[in-house]
Amino acid sequence: MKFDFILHWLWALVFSILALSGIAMAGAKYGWVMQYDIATADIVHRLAAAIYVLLTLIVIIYEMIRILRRDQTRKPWIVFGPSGYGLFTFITTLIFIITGAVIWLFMDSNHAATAFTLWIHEKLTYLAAASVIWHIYMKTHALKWPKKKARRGR
Amino acid sequence: MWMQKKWFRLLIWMVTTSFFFAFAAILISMFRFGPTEQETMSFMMGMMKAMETSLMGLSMHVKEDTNVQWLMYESVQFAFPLLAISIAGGVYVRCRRKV
Repeated sequence: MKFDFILHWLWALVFSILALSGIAMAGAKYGWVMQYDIATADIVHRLAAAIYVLLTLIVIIYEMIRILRRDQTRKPWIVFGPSGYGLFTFITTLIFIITGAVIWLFMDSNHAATAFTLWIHEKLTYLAAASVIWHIYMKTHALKWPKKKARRGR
Repeated sequence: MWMQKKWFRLLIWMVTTSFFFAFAAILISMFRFGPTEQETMSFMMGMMKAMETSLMGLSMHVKEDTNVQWLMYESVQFAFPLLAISIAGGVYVRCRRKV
């Protein structure tokens, strides 16, 4: 099984969990997404964030190894890339991680930094969610149901 | 190949649908009326519970610990040289290998 393929779908699953748990914490208008259970949303969001950072690290190391080995093989499932949606994902991921770390670490000590990074984190979530819809639309061929093999002997 | 397996296709459909749900939830929440007083109260209660029971409150307690503060200080001391080395490595790879 291709490594980049597994990473892609793990990434998608973790990002989906992050988006849904994060939306629930965005405000009183958004809380219904998780029935106003903010405590659960908070734990789920932080655990998924840790996995998200780990996956990011794995993808970066994987890409670095490929560059150093001068591996030119095309990896259609890789999450990060030098252009297009791969580049967009890379930039948004770094911003998500940096702003998320600031929110996590300075929530009680630096309210100005927390408020600013929370604003970026929230608005970027809306942008990323919209971009994923576009990404799915562009890759809808992956959703086609496998056809039954033609019976022989007809 | 997993892409030809129905159970995996089903998983893809589940993940994909969840993104549509997330985006629809954002749009609905953003443009709907409210929040009502009841919703605000529910949200505040949820936040208070999170402060008491989840990591949100725990992280605040932990940061008051002097040992943890020392560990954070040491981590930052390590982080900046590592960051500088990483950036230098990235620039080297980019310039040298022409990727």
